[in-house]
Amino acid sequence: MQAMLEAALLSSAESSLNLLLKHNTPALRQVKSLAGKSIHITLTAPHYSFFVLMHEQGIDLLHHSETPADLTLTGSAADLLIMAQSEQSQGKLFGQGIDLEGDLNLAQALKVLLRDFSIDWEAGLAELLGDTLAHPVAEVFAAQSRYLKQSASSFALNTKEFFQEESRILPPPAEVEGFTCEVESLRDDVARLEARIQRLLARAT
Amino acid sequence: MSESNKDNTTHFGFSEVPVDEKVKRVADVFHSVAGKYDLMNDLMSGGVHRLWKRITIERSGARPGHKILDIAGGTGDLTKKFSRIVGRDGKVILADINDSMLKVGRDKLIDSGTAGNVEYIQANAECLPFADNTFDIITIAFGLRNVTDKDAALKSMHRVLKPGGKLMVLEFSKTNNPVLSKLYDVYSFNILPQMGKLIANDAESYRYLAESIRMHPDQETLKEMMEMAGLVNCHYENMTGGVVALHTGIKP
Repeated sequence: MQAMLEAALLSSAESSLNLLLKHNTPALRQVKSLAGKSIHITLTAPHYSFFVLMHEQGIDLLHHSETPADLTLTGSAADLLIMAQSEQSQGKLFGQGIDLEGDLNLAQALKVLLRDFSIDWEAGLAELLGDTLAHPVAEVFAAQSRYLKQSASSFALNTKEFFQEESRILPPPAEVEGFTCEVESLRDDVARLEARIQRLLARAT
Repeated sequence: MSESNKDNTTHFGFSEVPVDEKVKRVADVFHSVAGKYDLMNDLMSGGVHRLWKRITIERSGARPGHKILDIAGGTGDLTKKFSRIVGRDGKVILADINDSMLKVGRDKLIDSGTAGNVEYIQANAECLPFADNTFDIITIAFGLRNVTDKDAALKSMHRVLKPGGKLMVLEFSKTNNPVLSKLYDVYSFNILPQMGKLIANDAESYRYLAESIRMHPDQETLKEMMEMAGLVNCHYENMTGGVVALHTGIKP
């Protein structure tokens, strides 16, 4: 039963991703240039792993692969989603959150692919409605999408500012960083002191 | 174990027919359904056949460079995925006894951009036209029940497998769940032929498909047949309550 559920999950995800790629020619071209490469994605929370196999027509998702992957990404589902959605994923992809192992050129290409990825609503709609109708409908979609993105971004900024600067419930990043540095420095001092005490004790006995 | 008896007849669905005639009748069924085989499979199984095939691919252990034979490959679902996994250094051979199915499969694969490492061969599973020890993996999905002499087919597959190679038989089987069994009977003998009539305008072919499933050996019998053919480590995995079983065996 679990195998069937996993197969259903991967099958739906694969179909959806390939449909998105079909309507995004630059992204599909990038995937084609990576044909034959495979990425092992290991989720730590929830605990699950799968392989992404790039090929000329899109991608295949496999739960199991006999071939060692060219690149392994390990992280929580939340971190990977942030990486996939973030326009400036430098910190997340190569820093905290996600561990990388393997072909770094492939990781870089994946980062570019995710950064440039956008859904061409107009091409998808044109298949259903025809070019004449698809254009104005897609414009409405795009405007709505921009508005929602802007609203979400300004809401996030305002919320952050309120909690960090106005109500002072949460500390701003610079304060956290300073505090972390102090804690690290204290930890080092304690370690040194401990070593010194051990040395003195050894000398006394 | 052989399906044919001493009167030289064999079953065609629930009917007994001369051995030579079964081949022709099965061919007629698949000539008739070839054009709408994919659509009907999706409708008949609610798309679940794609999951059964996906699990078969996951269990195959295929990797780049492998040489794979997809017998009764029909419309090429397994071949398409295998072709991507084995890559340029590997090869997948799609074999089917029925030229209509082979043509539909070949067109579908070429249209989907699957080319370069795939070959198409019209071949009878009972006497495969390949040298001994040729393939790393052989799959036969929903095809063995249509083969007249299953023992000969299994022996032939065993012969062309490389030592250490894997045979995978994905086929309808027997469910032990009485509720599921009853539902399955009602579906197979009442709804399925009607769907065949409505969509493919061919109720009889789909009635044969349902009957042939009932006449196919159950899980344990097929496992014994694979062992008799010389395969080892034979085992099976039931899917969807035993409606379908994936049998696997290794050539020693």
